[in-house]
Amino acid sequence: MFYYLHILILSIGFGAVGWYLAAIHAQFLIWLSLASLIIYLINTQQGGLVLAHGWVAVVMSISAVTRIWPSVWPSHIPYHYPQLWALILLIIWAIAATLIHLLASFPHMTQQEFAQHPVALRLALRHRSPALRLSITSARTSNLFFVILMAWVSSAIALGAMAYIIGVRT
Amino acid sequence: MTTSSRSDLPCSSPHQSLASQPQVARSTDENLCEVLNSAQNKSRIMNSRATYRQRTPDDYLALLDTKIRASFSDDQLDSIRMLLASTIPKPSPKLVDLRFEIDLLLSRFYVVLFVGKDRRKKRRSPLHPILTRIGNVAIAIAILVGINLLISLGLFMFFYLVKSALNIDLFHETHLADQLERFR
Repeated sequence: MFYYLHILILSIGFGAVGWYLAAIHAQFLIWLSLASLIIYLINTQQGGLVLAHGWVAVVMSISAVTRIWPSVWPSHIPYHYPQLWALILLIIWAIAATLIHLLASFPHMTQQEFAQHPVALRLALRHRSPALRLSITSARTSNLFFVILMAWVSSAIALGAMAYIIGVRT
Repeated sequence: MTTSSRSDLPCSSPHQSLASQPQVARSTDENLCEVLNSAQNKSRIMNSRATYRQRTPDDYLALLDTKIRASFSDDQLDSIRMLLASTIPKPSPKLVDLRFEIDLLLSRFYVVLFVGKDRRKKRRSPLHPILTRIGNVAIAIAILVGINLLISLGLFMFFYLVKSALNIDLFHETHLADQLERFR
């Protein structure tokens, strides 16, 4: 149950991140650094928190100095309503920090737990690939689990970005 | 030899096996059981970080082979306890005890910051040669400056945004971007 709640919050949160980055027309470098950050955090968990928070602080500083603002939100807010602008940036920062902590603290499934998972078990049993079999029989955290979590978070970001694009076009 | 699993073995605790030390030869299962108990006990004691600071001489005595331990008299055990108690480190209480790790994927580093009252009576003797100490100081300064810059940037931006959210205008009609433009 906890897994599902955790992954639901992560999905919604990273979906919002994808939407926001698409809305501010983020450069390719930002998307790439976000993907790297997610891979890094999934692998390092709590050990990656310091650098991840540093990354967020740098990105927030750049967006505060350059006054980057989503194109679909009223463009005069950063210049005429600094209170609201600062409050929104603080909220975005708090959401980013929460998401980083949630991703870093996502309970990793060991091989045993992963094998007990009904969906994962069925998926693993159907596949005859040696790499997949090796990943679910490895003694430590399942490699397949890493890939699934990474794919899940990336899909949430992509869906958020697509939601923005579809929203703008319609 | 039987092939039963750990849980199938009729294992008793180390203390029980100590108390009921049989004088006759043991069966293979009993010997295996004792080895398992001993190994489990050792790993439990040595791996438990929570108990590390609270270890007592008895915890270390429990690592001894039960046969050897049983061969000691009470006086001998008391002497060993006293000896162990004198060697167990007693860290002074810390005012600041900050530990965190930084994982760089290829290798993982830990950062520790202690601040506490120095209760050392003798001067701390230098552990490393002078060149190593200079290198240590240089690396420590580089790391501290890096961490300081990152924390300062984060704190500055946080307080700047809080200031703006509270509508506190320190520089009339100018924003941070305008102030930064002046440095160009």
